[in-house]
Amino acid sequence: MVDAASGRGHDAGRMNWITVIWSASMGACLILALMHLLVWCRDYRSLPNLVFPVIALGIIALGACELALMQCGSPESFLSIIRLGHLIFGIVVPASLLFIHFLFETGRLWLLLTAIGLRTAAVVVNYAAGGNLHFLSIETVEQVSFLGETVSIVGEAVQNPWVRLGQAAALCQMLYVADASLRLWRRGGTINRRRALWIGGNTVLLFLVGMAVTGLISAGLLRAPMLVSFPFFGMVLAISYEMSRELQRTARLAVALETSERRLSLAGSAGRLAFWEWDLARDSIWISEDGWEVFGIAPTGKLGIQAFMEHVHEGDRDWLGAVVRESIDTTGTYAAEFRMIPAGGGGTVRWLAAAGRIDRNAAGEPVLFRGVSIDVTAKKEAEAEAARQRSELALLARVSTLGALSGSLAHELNQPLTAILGNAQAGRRRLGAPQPDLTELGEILDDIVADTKRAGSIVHGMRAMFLRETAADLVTVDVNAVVRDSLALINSEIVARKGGVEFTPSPQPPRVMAGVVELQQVIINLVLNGLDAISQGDQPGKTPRVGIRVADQGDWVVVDVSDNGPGIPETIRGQLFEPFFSTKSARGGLGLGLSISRGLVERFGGTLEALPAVPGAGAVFRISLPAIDRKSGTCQTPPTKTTLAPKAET
Amino acid sequence: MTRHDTEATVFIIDDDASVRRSLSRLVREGGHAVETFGSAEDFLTALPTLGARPACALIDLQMPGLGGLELQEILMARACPCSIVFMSGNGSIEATVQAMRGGAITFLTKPIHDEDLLAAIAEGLDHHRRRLSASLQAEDIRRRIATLSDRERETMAWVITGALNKQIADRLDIAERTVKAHRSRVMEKMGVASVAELVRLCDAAGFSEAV
Repeated sequence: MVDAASGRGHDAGRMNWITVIWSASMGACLILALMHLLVWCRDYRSLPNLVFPVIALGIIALGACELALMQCGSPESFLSIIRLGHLIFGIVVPASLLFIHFLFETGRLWLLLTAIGLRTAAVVVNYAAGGNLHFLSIETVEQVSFLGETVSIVGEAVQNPWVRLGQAAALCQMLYVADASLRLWRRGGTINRRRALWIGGNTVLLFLVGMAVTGLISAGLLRAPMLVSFPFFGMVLAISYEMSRELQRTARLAVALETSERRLSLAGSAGRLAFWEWDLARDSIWISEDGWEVFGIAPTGKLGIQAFMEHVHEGDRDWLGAVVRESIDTTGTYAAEFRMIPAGGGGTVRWLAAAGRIDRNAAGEPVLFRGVSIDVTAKKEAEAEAARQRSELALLARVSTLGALSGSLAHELNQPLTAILGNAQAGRRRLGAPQPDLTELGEILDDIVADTKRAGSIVHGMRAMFLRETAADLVTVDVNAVVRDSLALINSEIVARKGGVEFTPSPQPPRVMAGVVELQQVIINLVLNGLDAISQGDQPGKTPRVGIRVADQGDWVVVDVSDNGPGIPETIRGQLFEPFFSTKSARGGLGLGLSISRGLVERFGGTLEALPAVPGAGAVFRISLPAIDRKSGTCQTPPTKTTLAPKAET
Repeated sequence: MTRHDTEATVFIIDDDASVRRSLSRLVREGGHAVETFGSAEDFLTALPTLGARPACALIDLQMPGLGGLELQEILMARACPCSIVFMSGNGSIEATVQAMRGGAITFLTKPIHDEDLLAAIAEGLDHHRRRLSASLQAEDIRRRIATLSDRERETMAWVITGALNKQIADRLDIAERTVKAHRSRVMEKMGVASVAELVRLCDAAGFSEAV
């Protein structure tokens, strides 16, 4: 049993290198296996991290087999240990291939299956053929010196012809890895190429080395123990090195993420922002640390949408719910402004503006609703104040217009009063007659009733012009009717100015959202301007004519007010709508009319513009208002969501 | 005078139908005939058919198309067929002054009290009636003047200046006897007995001395 080399054999006092190296490798493999197993436990979807420990543990087992072989004394146990080694090999190799398959995602499946199939067949043969895949039988075991120790190697043995099957399997494995690597390389990208080269290249190379060593040994050309675990160990190291870069990157990302989160949190608390996420499946809302304060909700462990809605102002609850549902069901995005009830019932109502997005899973189902909300109470209050001032200014302009029209309005009102007084006095005289004509008296009374009503409607129309309108007063109005009422109100003024107004209504009543009185104010303003236009021309004797045309253009209702004046010079067209710009300086135009009118029209979501000058024609002003869709009853271009809600309570 | 009274008519010119109806009722209660017009233009169109009768026009100052003051101007340019009373709910001082200078009877502020209205109408009709009779008289005198020969008319022109027969003879370069003869024929044709009466007639007819 002891050969000539035993003289240089193992001494008790010398360091046992084989034990040291094998133990170190096996220990390293164990640690790597555990590490990746832990990573996989955190992330079940990462299959490479699941396969890697299998490879590493397999290599430990292979190493153990090799150690046992080196210290083995009998040919029988030699034969059975190699047989066991092949079984382990049959696990390690497919695992390596699967690892590459999962990591690269470029391998050809048929090649993979062939390689695994061949390897499995080799394992079957390993058990079926008697002996193992390499040897049918081993006659003797020899001792050789290896790394300063005496180890056992195969002496005389009968080769198993089926060993070719193992070689074919190995070839196929290499082909698969080489092909997958090449394809990964072709994909480009730093990470892809590095992985192709480092993992793929090394694996192929080490397979080759392993095959060569095993081939040489089993052919009896190399008298050394089986050293299969070493190439594989190299492969594990290469993979592990590459995977560790992944871990490094993850660590860097974690640091960057933490920094960014800190920045976000800083921005959140500085800007009074609330970040939130609503897990739709679990109906659980997460709100950033400073966000609770913004929402005015006392922090609680679990907050569902129902509980959240309890904190929303009851006036906004229903439509906000509808907006949220619409976002989830159709649009996928969300934007709203709404009011929150202050915590504990004290303090003022706060306004929040929110924007968000729905995340959907692969099946397209909404899973997460996340976004950010900001406290816009101050902005809302400023807006309300600005609106109040705008409305006040419009009122002042209206009152001043009415003041200028007072003479005409008095005339307008005096007509029915004259008729009433005349009728009453005629009736009274008639009653003094010996035989009063009752039919005639009835007619007189009828006329008095009619004229009283007429006077009443004039007073009503005038009174409305003195009333404040607020943002909440937008109603559905028929533009034809508004123009008609406006003209009725200034009828006497038109007569007094010796002007003519031609009104062309649209065939269908065009409906828009507007304030009735404010729209009247705009139209009256434009008509009076039009009547004044002629006096600024070079034909002072000409009759001022104003045309009003209402047209329904689908999405928009357009009111064109034209005159027969000299037109607007292109040079001042842009300035017309600026406050205090007036061409009527001689007659005390304040220059606020157009500016205020534009403000009013814009409040209705519309525009007021002067159309480009046409030579020889007068000025044309165009009011465009978003039409109400006849079918749905909503605006095509709706005002912002805020206008759905009543004014801020301050 | 009584001959004209039955024909005395009040014209109401106002663009407002109910004002027209109400005022015409009241005026009729006052015992006058009424005709109404919706605009100055309508009235001017109908004017030639209205004839010469005592008439008073109630005109609204403010109307589409021709306004009240413009109508007054047109009426005054013609031999005025009526006297004018203005109505307005919104009369400025300038408009009032212009109306009164244009010969309007008065200026009524709407709404109008019946007493004021009827008084103004009575005054207007009376005024026009006087104007009508004056113009009838003048026409009669002018007709008589037309019967004079040229020489007689020349003689009359000098007579009404108070010139003596001798002076007239000198001026016309004829014999004093001839002047006497012309003079007596003038007095006869004009139907007057004194020079003073002749002067009054010539005045009423607007006949002026010869230049």
